[in-house]
Amino acid sequence: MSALMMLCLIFQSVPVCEDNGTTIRLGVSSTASFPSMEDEKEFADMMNAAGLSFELAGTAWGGTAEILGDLTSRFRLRGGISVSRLHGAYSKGYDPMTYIVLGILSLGMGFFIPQDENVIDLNDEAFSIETEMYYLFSRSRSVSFSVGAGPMFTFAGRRLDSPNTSTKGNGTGFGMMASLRLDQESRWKLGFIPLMFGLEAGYRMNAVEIDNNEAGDFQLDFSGLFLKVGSYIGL
Amino acid sequence: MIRLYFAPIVILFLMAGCDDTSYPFDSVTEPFTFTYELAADGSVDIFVVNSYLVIVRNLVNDESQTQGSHSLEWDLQDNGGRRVPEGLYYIRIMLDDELIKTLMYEVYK
Repeated sequence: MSALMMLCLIFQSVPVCEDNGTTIRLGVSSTASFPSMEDEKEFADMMNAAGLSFELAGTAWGGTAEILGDLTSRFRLRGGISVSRLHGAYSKGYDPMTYIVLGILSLGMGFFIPQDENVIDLNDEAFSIETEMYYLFSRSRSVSFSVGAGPMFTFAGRRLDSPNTSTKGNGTGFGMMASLRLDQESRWKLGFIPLMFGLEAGYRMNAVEIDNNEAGDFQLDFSGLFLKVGSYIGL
Repeated sequence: MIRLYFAPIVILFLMAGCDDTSYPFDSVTEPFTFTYELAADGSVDIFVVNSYLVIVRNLVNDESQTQGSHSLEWDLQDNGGRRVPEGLYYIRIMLDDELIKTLMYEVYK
């Protein structure tokens, strides 16, 4: 949040920074989230118990295309489409000596080949439609601070690849999210494009059960804290 | 220039040599026998779990077995007598309700 404040201060200090009449902002944001994924953690434990060093990422990365609009001076609405991805893998490295010899004999070109091969590859993805209503409890000419909550609907998928097989499962589910937002209220003009920035941190409750017959009650639980940084065009 | 010309060939040759498919699990297409070791006498449960953590087959239910080496066959069928779909499966061996071994298999047609 302090980074955004600094950014706003910098932009405020340049002559092209304008006071804002913006009521709509359109943009994209990058998201890092920390989903609970209890079932996937149990799956990873089972893989490890079977003697494989399976590594499940702790952070899901993604992005959101979103639009924010001011309903009143105190209320702001956001709608977005987001994608989030969590990866896990059991990798097998080439023998280091072979790798070095390969690199030397190929005049260095061999070093461009990845040293590890994903033998077991797990990809969990969530595609969500989100809406959130915010109450702006602090708003100045440069920044606003708001708190919001809203529902989401998620299409989630799981794909597990091994050397000879590929297992796919998917499902849908509703969820909720609540967050704090810090938005730039002044506009910085990049040429003719009025740019604004935003920062959001919150919690998402969103567990999706896989629909496949063999999946039982296996859930892709994307619930967890998230952090989002976005850049927007003010309209 | 000549050496550069041969570089891709060398890479392909060595990549083929690097293609080590010795994984810490077996790939199976038909019924197979696995072995396990019991450190003590006790009550044994052995079941097969799929990659969604669902038990698809109970191979041994609360059976008294003696210390030592044992072997057992899995016919790649689930509890309903159907062949399991392709995928990763885990045979879990419990002795006196304690997990002592997990074996992973890749089942494909």
